[in-house]
Amino acid sequence: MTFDRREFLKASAGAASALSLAGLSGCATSGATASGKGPKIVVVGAGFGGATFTRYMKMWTPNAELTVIEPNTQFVSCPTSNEVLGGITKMEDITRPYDNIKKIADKWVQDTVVGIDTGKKTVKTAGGHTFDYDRLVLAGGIELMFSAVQGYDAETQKVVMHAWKAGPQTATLRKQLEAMPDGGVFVMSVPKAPYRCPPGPYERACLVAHYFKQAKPNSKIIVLDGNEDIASKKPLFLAAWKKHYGYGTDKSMIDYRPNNMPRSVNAKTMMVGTEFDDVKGDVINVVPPMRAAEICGMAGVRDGNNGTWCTIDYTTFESKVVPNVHILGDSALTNFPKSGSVANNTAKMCAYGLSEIFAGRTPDPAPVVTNTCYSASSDSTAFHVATVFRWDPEKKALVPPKGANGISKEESELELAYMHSWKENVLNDTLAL
Amino acid sequence: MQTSATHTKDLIPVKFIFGWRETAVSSFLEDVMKKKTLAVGLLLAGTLGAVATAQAVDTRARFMAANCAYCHGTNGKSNGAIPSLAGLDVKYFVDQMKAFRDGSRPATVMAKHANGYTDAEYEAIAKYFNAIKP
Repeated sequence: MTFDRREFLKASAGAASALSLAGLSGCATSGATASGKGPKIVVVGAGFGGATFTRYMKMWTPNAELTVIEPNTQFVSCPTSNEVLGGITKMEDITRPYDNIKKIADKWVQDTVVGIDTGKKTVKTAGGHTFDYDRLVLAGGIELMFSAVQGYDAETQKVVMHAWKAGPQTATLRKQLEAMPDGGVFVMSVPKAPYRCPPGPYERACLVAHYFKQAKPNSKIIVLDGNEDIASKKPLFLAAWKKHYGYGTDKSMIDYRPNNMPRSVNAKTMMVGTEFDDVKGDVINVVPPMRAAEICGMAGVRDGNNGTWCTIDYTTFESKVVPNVHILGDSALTNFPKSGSVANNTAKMCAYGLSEIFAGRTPDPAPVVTNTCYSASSDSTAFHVATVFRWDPEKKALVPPKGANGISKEESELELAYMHSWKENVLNDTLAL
Repeated sequence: MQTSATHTKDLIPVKFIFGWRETAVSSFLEDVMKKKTLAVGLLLAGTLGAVATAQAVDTRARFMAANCAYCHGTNGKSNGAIPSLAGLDVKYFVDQMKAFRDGSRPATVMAKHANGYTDAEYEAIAKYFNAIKP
């Protein structure tokens, strides 16, 4: 005889009270709401931040009532999606089911949030449902600001991919690269920091160059970087570009152009305009500037960096401007890189902080949190950046202690094996697979 | 190296409970949920009912151990090239962290991670993973 968890809880009041005791560590009342049940938490977005939060919150505060609202039917990983563009892996390799995280959530809602009232503490969906919360967790990732690039309208978006949210965009960009004739030009851009996945664009240049080297050796990649220099793992990317793709020679597959923010794009002429000149491509991949997800705008929590990202309190990731609203993953304005590992780890930090509060304790005033981020430089090599952030009472910030931050000495095959192991483990950890 | 936070110092040391340590109970709970059997569920209910009132979880150690999961797998059970941590001997774990920190064991990412934690935190994380059945 099998039971699902909710039936099981209903079936045994003793079990239910034991479960709540396990979560509340003998302090059973402080996590309870007026209704006598556990705290009502609405999670919007089930990416690395939202899904990890859901899993760990349930583990650490089993009586929390978790409603998860997510528009997508399956999880597609941004990390390692550049390997799809490079023809090294396929879409199915970066796609995972939501089945287990759906079972962990008390309520799984396949829908899009269209309104948030932080006064009444309610969330409205396109499907016409309203959910009330004690705590709201916003894990919506990023909103791409197409209007910041002239001509990047809905029609142009049918031809020009950003592929900065993995999914159909990734698959389409791969098809465009496959269809491009040998000798063609691939134009790609890097938005101004801070943006999702700092090393991602440079990894993309590596893996598309890897594909061209195998299949279209006369082709070129023009990288239009809005930043003044390579924004992440610079010595490692430069070394990889030189070693594998002829960078620095007249045979270079990669033409890197710093301070070249795309200002306009035209899908008919296949031109990208910068402040300096117009660049023609056979395949164009413009990643527009970005800010915290739309839902953060609805909740009025995009208070940082000229109203683009959300400032948070590090102990629980609560918004600094709206109480009981917590912001996870890429939407948050922190000194951590916007990576999958950070979204996964800080989601646990939020679940840890809230679990302490619900158990009647004070959240850890000095948390420790980490980032480990791999980038592939070819089909057989990778390298990393790794950082431990911990609370520094003098600086009043989470900063790396001496020696706790750095990049690989050089690329290696071992690190690619670690990267692929990381991918399996982080996806399993996030989605309870 | 900074000292660790002391807000969990009042917690009772980890002990074995029915062959499990309290720190592993939550993960055990999730495993049980996945299995969804009434028999195991009721056994769990009895087990937790008995222990939950008696002791507290070292929630800080549990959180720090969860930091490791994106590379080493949930509860230190890894897929692929990255080693598992579940069930490792406490002294072995602590010795490896010290070796990563002083460079006597060559490493890729672990030198950075080892420099981010105190000796007391190595010990607390080691105990958490030691309590999980590999």
